[in-house]
Amino acid sequence: MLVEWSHAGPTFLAALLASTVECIEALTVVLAVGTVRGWRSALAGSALALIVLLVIVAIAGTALTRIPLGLMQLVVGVLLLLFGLRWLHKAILRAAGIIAKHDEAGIYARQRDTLRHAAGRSDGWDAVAFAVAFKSVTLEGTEVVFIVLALTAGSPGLLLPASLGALTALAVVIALGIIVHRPLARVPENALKFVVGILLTAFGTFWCGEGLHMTWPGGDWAILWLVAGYLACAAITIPLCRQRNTLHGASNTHRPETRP
Amino acid sequence: MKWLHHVWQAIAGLFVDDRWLAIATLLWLLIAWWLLPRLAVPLTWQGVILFLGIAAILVWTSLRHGKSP
Repeated sequence: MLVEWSHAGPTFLAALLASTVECIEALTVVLAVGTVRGWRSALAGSALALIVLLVIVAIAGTALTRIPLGLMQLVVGVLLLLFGLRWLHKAILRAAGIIAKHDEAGIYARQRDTLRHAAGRSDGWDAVAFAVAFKSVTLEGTEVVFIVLALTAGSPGLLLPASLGALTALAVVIALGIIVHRPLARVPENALKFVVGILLTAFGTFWCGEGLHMTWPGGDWAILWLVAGYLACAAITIPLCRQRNTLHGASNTHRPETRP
Repeated sequence: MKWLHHVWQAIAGLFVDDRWLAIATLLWLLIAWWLLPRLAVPLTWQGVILFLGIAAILVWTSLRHGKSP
């Protein structure tokens, strides 16, 4: 039971936090589309995207059950490691001031401006609004689906905490979006991305090691010292990057960020 | 075919942003898989070495960004 909790807790937390970030990003775009171009097409695009995501889950979930456990742990571990490292690397660069921090309010304003000037609006169906909402929800949702499936690699029992984490995030973000009716700019998204990067990298490393038949000190509890290890690594790297960036002049500061 | 390229770019973009980070990580995984058992490293240390290598790559690629635009 202890072994189960050592994975179920971090799995739930990782899925919850990662899904919160992705849902907030999708909400920002859908809100911009809805307020500028109308809610009908925005919601229709989002609904179709959710259906597409459900199909992806059904296909990927079925396919994953056919892959041998060891191979799946290795493949998913490598992908999760690359995915997590990408988040953590960018979070370190953001914290060091090398790339600009993610600004949900700014993205919302830019998106609204672009949508206001885009053509294609009609009284009935708005193809631009539909396409933008569909693309945004599909993109962010694909990341959520990947995270949930990857976190459960090697142990089908983890599907429940991972799915619960993702669904909780979705419900909370939708509820807040309906209540607040503007982007959730006050959520500490950059800090969330930092924590998610650490958790996903730790999980990716663990599954890679399992796939390569390595033994972890502490068994399943190794996930906790991996989290602590990457946290320490990031804590050491951020001031080093900041110092190096200052030494090489301000020309490097606040480069525009790409996703996530 | 253009949409297929966009889809591929979106999928690849999920995993690769800094190509040196991705390449170095994959190389380290290959090295760890091939070399560690041949060096007769104790099993319990193999996971620790795998972690240390990935952490070192993360530090190295982050410091590269601090140096060059």
